[in-house]
Amino acid sequence: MQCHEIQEQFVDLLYDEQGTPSANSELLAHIRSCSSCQKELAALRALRTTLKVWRDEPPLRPVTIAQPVPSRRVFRLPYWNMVRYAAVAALVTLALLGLSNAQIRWDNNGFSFHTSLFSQSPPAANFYTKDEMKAILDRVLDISEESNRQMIQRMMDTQDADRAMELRDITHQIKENRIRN
Amino acid sequence: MIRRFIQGDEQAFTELVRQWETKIFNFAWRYLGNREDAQDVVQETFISVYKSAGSLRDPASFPTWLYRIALNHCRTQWRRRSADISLDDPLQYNEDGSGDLTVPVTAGSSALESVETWELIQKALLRLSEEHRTAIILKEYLGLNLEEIARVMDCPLSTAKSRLYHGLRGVQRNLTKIGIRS
Repeated sequence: MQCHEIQEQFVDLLYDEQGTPSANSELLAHIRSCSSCQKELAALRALRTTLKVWRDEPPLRPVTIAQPVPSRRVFRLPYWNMVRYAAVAALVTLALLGLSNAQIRWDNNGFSFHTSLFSQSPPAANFYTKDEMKAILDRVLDISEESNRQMIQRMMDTQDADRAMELRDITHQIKENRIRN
Repeated sequence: MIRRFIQGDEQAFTELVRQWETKIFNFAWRYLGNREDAQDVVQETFISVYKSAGSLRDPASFPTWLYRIALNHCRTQWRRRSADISLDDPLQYNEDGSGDLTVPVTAGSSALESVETWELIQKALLRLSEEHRTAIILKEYLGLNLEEIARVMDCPLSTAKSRLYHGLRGVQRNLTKIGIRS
């Protein structure tokens, strides 16, 4: 057996550990008969002693262990991001609709959507102007006043008739009383 | 304590840090040859440990699991450092960043009594390959058995033995070059 073939097995001799194969008899026989290997093994044992000169040192500073920060996720509403994005999308949509003069109508004629972003002509007026509104109100008031006047006249007429009938009855009664007397 | 840590006990984690930080610091210091870098590795290692507690199934395997995490951070730090400093000849690499080639002790056994001897050992270790250096640190300074070394380094037992042997031979050669005969 050549020296270089067995010298890796010196580890088994240097570290005679439980659970690892101990040096076999062939190796031991070779070392007993080989001065070179004896020297090598002795040098390695001495080296192990030399290595122990390098002692442990304490760390430069203790490890800093930051307290774990509670996850922000715990405090979030479920689907918070979706809600947030939906709100932003809704605002953007409303802004676009406003910029495009969008008109959304849902009446007896059904649903209709109209924009005038690119329309050159102004949108058809579907509301009363201030003057028109004033005229309508005046007319309503006039009608109402006339109606009231007629109603009061009718009431007065009715009352006069009633009073006339009452006066006629009284007159008739007085006449009768006079005849009796 | 390790079981409590796996279950998310903050206090158990703090106790584990206090129990293991010195070992991790010295592992990283010997691997990197620089205390500040080693301190960074300690910090990063325990952050990783905290984050990946759920991946540790068997409490008995905690030490090898921890060293493996530390080793990964050491490798990352070493490569980051290598990008900044030429490590073609790590013997020129000092902790203060200077390129001191002089050996402050004379050859012979008296050198071993010098306070700088550990620095020479450090230089001899730094000149090794990462695999050989790791094997020596895990065995000689952290006291792991060969099977544990194989698990930390994720290699067969025979490979761990081979790395350890050749690592020892490498340190021996490097120390001889510097002028120390053990």
